[in-house]
Amino acid sequence: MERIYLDNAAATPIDQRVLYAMLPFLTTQYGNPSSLHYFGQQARAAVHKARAQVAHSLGVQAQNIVFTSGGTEADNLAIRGYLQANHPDGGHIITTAVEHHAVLNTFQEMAYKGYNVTFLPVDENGRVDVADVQKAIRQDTILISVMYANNETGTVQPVKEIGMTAHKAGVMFHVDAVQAFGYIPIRPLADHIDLLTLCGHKIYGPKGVGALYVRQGLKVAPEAYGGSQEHHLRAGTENVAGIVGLGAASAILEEERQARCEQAAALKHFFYEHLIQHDARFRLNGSMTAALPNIINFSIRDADGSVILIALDMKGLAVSAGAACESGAVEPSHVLSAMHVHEPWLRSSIRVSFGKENTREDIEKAVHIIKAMLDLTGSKEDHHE
Amino acid sequence: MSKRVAVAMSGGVDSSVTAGLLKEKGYDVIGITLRLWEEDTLCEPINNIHACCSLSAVDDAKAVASILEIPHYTLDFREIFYHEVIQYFIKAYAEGQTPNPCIACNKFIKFGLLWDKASQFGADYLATGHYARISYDSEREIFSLLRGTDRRKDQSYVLYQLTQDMLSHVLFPMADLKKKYTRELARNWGLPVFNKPESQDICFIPDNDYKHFLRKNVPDYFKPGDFVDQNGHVVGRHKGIPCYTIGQRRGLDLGGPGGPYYVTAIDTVNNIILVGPERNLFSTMVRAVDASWVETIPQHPFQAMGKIRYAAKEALCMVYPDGDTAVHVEFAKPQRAVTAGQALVLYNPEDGERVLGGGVIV
Repeated sequence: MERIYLDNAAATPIDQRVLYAMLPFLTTQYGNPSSLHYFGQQARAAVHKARAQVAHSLGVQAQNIVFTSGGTEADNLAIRGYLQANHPDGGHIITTAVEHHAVLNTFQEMAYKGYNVTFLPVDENGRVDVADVQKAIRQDTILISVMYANNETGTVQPVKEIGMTAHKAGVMFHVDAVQAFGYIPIRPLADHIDLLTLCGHKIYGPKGVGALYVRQGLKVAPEAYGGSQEHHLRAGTENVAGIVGLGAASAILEEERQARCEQAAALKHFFYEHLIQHDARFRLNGSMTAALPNIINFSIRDADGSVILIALDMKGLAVSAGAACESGAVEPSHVLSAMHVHEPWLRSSIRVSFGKENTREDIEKAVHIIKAMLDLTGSKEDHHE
Repeated sequence: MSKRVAVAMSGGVDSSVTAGLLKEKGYDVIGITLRLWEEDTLCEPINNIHACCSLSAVDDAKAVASILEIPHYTLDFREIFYHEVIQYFIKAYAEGQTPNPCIACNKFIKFGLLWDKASQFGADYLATGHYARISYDSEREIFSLLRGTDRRKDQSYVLYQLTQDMLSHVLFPMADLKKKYTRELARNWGLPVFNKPESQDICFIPDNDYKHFLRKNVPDYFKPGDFVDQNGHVVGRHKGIPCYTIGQRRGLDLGGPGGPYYVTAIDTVNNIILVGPERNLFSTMVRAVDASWVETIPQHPFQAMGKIRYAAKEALCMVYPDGDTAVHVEFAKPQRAVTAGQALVLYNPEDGERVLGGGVIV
């Protein structure tokens, strides 16, 4: 069976060029970057180069990049590490109701530890109002964390405005840019961002590697204790191949981001026009404008999202219901709930995310498969007709 | 193209072997595991941290599916399970009954909503690891539900609500297997669950302490009251109606000359537990409601073998239909501790192999 992969927001395929950059460090160049000899120095140079590549893609200094095991670890390091190093005794911290669980659950843990937490609401498109951020800031507010773009809907937040608001009040600003990085040129310095999370497997790099940008001079406490790797911020022997992969993927991304945006946007619009726009069985979740070009989230009236996903997988179409859950079961999305999406739309949301390997033909087939599947399973509306 | 079968995989050895057998027979097998209750209740968080893995059943099923090279999906049925099974279970105890949640689960969950979903994604059949058999009489054009070959493992009792429509697309591949052979097959196929212990009686109460479960969920049900004997004398205090079931002797803490005492009846209105000697537990007359018939709806009295609980031995009885959905049953010999809430399941009188139907004892 021919399979079509439209779940690039979960994981992208690895770019061949990235793979080839990584391969030596999985085969012949196995040295430990901490070793003084030739082998160690080769590995160290590779990590150094990757750090420069990631830094360059953000317009920051290489020394401000810390490699981690992925986005989740970077989010934890940013939030917990910043609070531990600067405000260990508590304070007020702000985030949004639509964050990825890596941030949401970290904030919940901080609330349990005694920090005061505000979860900001979003509008029907999933966007935070900067005025709400302004209103939420108190005397004792110390940190704001807002994702650049949402992983379920692609909705892009007014990050720069929030950053300015935060900095005016002397509050630190963390941004999870895991989804946005591949499609939006991010400039932490101009965007008033103090801490920024990235990861490899959303930008055609490998899984198991991410990075945290830490503004020059900002104190962050490590989460793991051990060696002095990563400026004492992340003990443990470096994942050299993964880091090289993230560096290579970032460098290629800088060159190709614009083209990828245009390609994804064309596919997304085609998909929207041919499936969603003119059919009352579908509802777009989020907006077509203030969103990433590669993610589209929609619901099917009265349908059961989990059944739809299984039926589509059996037809060879790989999409998702938003966030992947550990057990694989589909749960009502906290993002859509926060956007006040109600029944009959809440349990049938589907996220389709495009990538550079996808063609117009793929999308035509996907639209066809979804329509045919609905005729088979029938959304309730059909039964009554 | 081969027929597609959705297998309800619990992560246990029976349903794992079920999937393997169907795969060997050439079916297009899909594994489905249901999330039915909050696994988190298994391990109370320590300092807000979930310190143990709570998804082991789903993980086991996924591991088996990957070894058998079949696709596997998880469906979140927690909401319907809570409403149809857990709430029913709780309510029954409030009403002084002893529920059988597996029967409710089979009706509403496995052979209800799961089949509904599976058929939507193109399954031709639903298979489970139950030990029971299905046969088809092409002359009468009727499906029959029969006991599993291994009588000790027979589970036809919890399946009496299966209808003709359901039987036409259900497969029970374990029907003819012996349990020992099941584990051998699992081991031969390299399934890691081959030596997994038997599942609990009640899946959503993993520690088997149903009183603790009820106390946690509905503390109001535990109102102390009186034990009253057959002469109307108060002989002690009870700890709340959910603590007792008909026929129970242990845990009453009733000494005295009138003993030993057994629970003979539960009066929820007056919050009284009636106790008496063992002979008071025996009765020949049983009434059951919500009756369901596998093959045909009986219009006239008939003989059958009746079984009043999962572990009871079936016994000869006369069945008097009372409309389509209720029956009066008179056993030839008195039955011990007939308990409201349990199922009365009726088998054919000749050899007791074929399920005719059943209902809930009132």
